[in-house]
Parts: sequence; structure tokens; C-alpha cells
Amino acid sequence: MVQRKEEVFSSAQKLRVEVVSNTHLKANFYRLTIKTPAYFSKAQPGQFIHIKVGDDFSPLLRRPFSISNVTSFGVDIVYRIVGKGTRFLSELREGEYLDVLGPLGRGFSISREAKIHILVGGGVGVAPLIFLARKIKEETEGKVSILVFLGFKRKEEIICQNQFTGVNLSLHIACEDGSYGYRGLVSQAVEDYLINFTSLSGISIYACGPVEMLRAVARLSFNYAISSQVLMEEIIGCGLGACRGCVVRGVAGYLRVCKEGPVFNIRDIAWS
Amino acid sequence: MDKFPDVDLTTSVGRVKLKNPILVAAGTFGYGEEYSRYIDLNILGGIITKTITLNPREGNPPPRLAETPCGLLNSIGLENPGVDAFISQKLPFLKELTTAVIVSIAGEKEEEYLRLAERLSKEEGIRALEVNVSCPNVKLGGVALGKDSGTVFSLARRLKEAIDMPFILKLPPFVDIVEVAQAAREGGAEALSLINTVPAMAIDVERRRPKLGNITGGLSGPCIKPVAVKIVWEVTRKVDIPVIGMGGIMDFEDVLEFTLAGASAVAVGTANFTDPGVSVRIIKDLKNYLGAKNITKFSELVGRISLGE
Repeated sequence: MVQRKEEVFSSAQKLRVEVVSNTHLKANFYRLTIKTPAYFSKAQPGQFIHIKVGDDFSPLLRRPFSISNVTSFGVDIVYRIVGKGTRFLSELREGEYLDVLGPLGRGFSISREAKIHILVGGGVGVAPLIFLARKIKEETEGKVSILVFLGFKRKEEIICQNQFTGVNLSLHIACEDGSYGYRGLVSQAVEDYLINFTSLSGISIYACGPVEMLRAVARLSFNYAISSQVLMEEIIGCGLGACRGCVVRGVAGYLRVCKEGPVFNIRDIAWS
Repeated sequence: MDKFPDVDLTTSVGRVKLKNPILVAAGTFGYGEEYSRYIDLNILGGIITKTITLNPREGNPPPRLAETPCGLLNSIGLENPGVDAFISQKLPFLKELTTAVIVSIAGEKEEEYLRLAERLSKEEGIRALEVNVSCPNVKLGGVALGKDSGTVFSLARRLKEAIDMPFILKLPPFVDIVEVAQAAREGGAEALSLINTVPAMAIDVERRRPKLGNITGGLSGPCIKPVAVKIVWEVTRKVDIPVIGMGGIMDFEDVLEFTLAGASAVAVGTANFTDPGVSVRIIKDLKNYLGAKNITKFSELVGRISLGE
């Protein structure tokens, strides 16, 4: 498994890619599809692409985006306009070109033992879980259950919920303001659900979202002795492991989000 | 591909001969290998490695990066595996390259610089050392060393006595730069690298907290280029020592600015993050520009700024 990821990483190149589509989802959320070379079919959920957002020095750094799906059309990312870089992306039209590095980093490692895979996403962090849910279905040939918990601030910000479908997949939505689904934090929704289980063996959790959400997921995973992986975010410099700008605190020293991550086992992260 | 094969890009920084004037700056290029799948490293004039210290350094707490308008603020804190691991794990790759390998070193006190220099000068495949006395992100050594001309003179003198390998002192901006540069020359430094990042700070207004985990950091990128050009110009005008110019170089025109100001070579830094292939493109663009202008030797442009009528 690990070896396969090295292979994916080593195929990373700097590319000029064509925009296939750039779709407004709702509020300030968009989905961008770019035409990528065939080797992107080996990309792992949780890996990212590092995009040059702009034609000049402002923004100066590239911006990392998690791959939200790989299809026959190319690679999808879902983004939210938060600043100059994402505004630049939102103005791209079909047929225009982007400068992209990737796929980069280490993605989620799908548990072979787990019978129940719990995917927890918060906000725009739900996007890479689309790709992950699909991969779990493919790799396990539908023999496992997938529970997807998506958390948002309010109903108006719910995105991608239609992307999670399948016979053995159940979708749970939480809104912090109670305007839709479970009222409260998505991590609490997961915990409330787990209480109904008589045995917690054979469960694996995968999470992507704000760091407070990841911290809560880590806490409940430790409490219930569930193995979990989290996708961490930091400002990324080079994206190639050279500058050591994107580190997070690990139990055995600093870890690079772009190289050792962005997906980490919760046991490797220093949460306190 | 080569439209102007007769254009001579070679340059010298003291005894250090380079096939072209484009190097990559310390801390922005790792140990070369990280970029090897994106560019042919042997096209570069040289690689200045990420700074090495005697013992491994963990670096500063995150966040370590903050972007500012046309600039990048960092407080990495010289995270590196230490000289032993550098020699056993990083140098074997660098040794195989035909490009000039310059190893950046830093210590907390003079003795550490000397021990590092002695150790590295015995290794094959290293063309020169860059002596970092200007890191703004460490408590000991760093800027504190590089701002004092007496300390710089003493360090340069002792290095000169200890090793034959050429060494280049990398100085901080905003000190009495000419005096320090003169001290470095008198001590025996082969050349100077100008400039390191500019001490700087950014604040998250919502959280009322510094954007960097280390509170302050060093600013790089296009926003510091005019500061660097002025320092290169001032030092090369007043001190007879070759200079490697750096600070916000993004394209070949920036290279020419440093060249005209007096730099014998330049280093591309932050731009490597924007585009890992930028240094190779700059070399090509520079050659085409010189060819189109019928300038056959790059080195003839060094310091050729015109100040008169």
C-alpha cells in the first residue's frame, strides 16, 4: 500500500492543464474539473494538487487543493472563494489553462480489516471524501458499510451531498445551527451514532475538515479505541518537501503536510 | 533549441567558477533532490543547500509561513538533519551533479562554524561553503553574529586559516553593511551573499495573534528586491569583493538588475516555490536576451550600471 503511494508521488510533474469545467455549486462554492494525464488515475484520495493561482506574483505561493474525484473527464477539486487566489480560480473558463503540480503528498490508506468505514467531513473538507468513498467501494467490492457524516455551519452551505450514494452507504448531515439534519457539531453526531453500537471493532474513521473538528474526531477515536486518519491543512510553500514551511507538530517531531501528509494517523499527531 | 550558442554565461565568484550566474538560494531548494523530477539540476549555475548545522535542528513551531503582498514571511528556524546526516544522506546525490554545490552552514558560535567548515572541507563534491550569519529566525548565531564587524572579521579570519575551500559570507540587511562587508573581505571571505531575508512580522487581526508561530520571521520575495539591489550596489561599489545577489528574483530582468548593480552571480529563492522550473527558464531567457542584444559575455555586464549623463 505504502509502496504504491510512493509510485504515485514519483510520477508527479509540473503540468499545463486545460480547464474542462468550472461549476458554481452554491453560495461561494465551486467545482473545477481539469484535464489531466492518464497517471492521475493512480492518484489516492487525500492527495492534493498545487495550483498556481494568478499570472503574476500576487498571490506569490501556489494553493493546495485536495482532489475531490478522478473521473474520465479529469480531476475535480471543490473550492470556496476565500481570497484572491480562489477568486482567480472562480473566474477560469472552459478551455483556459492552469499550471498545476501533482498529485502530491500521501493520501488515505483504506483499511483492509475494517467492516465499517466512517467518513467525517466539515465544510469544504467534505470534498476529498467523495473520492475516498468511491475508492472504498471499489477496493472492497461493496462488502463493507460506509457511513458518511458531513458537517456544515448552516443549511445554505451544504455541498456535495448528492455525491455520496450507494447501496451500503448511509449519509448523515449535521448543521451547527440546526437548520438541517442533526443539530450541532458533526463530531458529536458521529459520537451519538457510535453509542448505538454494541461492538466498536472493525471500524475505521477518515476525517477532513477544520482542525477543531479533527481534534474532536481524534479525541473520540482515542476514547473508543478506533483507528483514524485525518487530513491536515497548513499553508504550503514548495509542496515538494524542500522548504519545511508546512509542518504540523507530530509526537516524534515536526511532520511536513506536503510530504508525510496531508493524511496522518491520529496517533502520529501531537494534539495537545 | 539554443538560439545563441555563442553567448558566454560563465562567471566567477572569486575562485568559484560557475557555468552560468543562476544559483538557487539556501532554504528554498532543499538538498536539490526534491526538485530533481521537475528540472535538470545540471543546467543550474549552482545549488546552495538548505543550511546545515552541527547537530540536527527541529526548527520553529508552526505556522512557519505567512504570505504578504508580493512577499513570503517565514520562520522555519533552520530545521535540518545535522552535518552527519547531510554527509551520509544528502551529499551522495549532490556529489553526482555537474553543477556547483555550495553548502550553507550555520552555528550558534564561532567554534561551531569552524568545526562544520573543517568537516565539510574534507568532503568531495563541495565547491564552496556559504556561511550563514544572517538567519533572522534563530536565537543564537544568525543575525546577531552577522551584524557585528568585529565578529565577522574574526570568524572569516579563523575560517580562512582553517580551510582552503572558498567560503562566502551571507550577511543580513540593515546593518552597517559596508563596514561588515569590509570586515568579511579583510578576514578572507571569498565573496558575499546579499541579502538574507528581512526581519518582519504579520498579525492576524481577527485572532489578534502573530501569523507566525515564532512571532517574527524573515521576509522574502519580490517586495524585498529593491532593498537587496541597493545593498548589492552599495557594497560592490565600496568593497572589493565579489557578490552573489539575491532577494525576490522572479525573472531574467531581475537578474540583470542585480548584475548591473554589481552582482557576479545571483540566487533565485522564493520564486522556486511559485514555479519549480523558474531557474531553468531564467537561464534560457537570459541567454536569449543577451544574444538578441549582441552581448557575448554575461560577465561584462557586472556592475555596469550607468550613473552619469
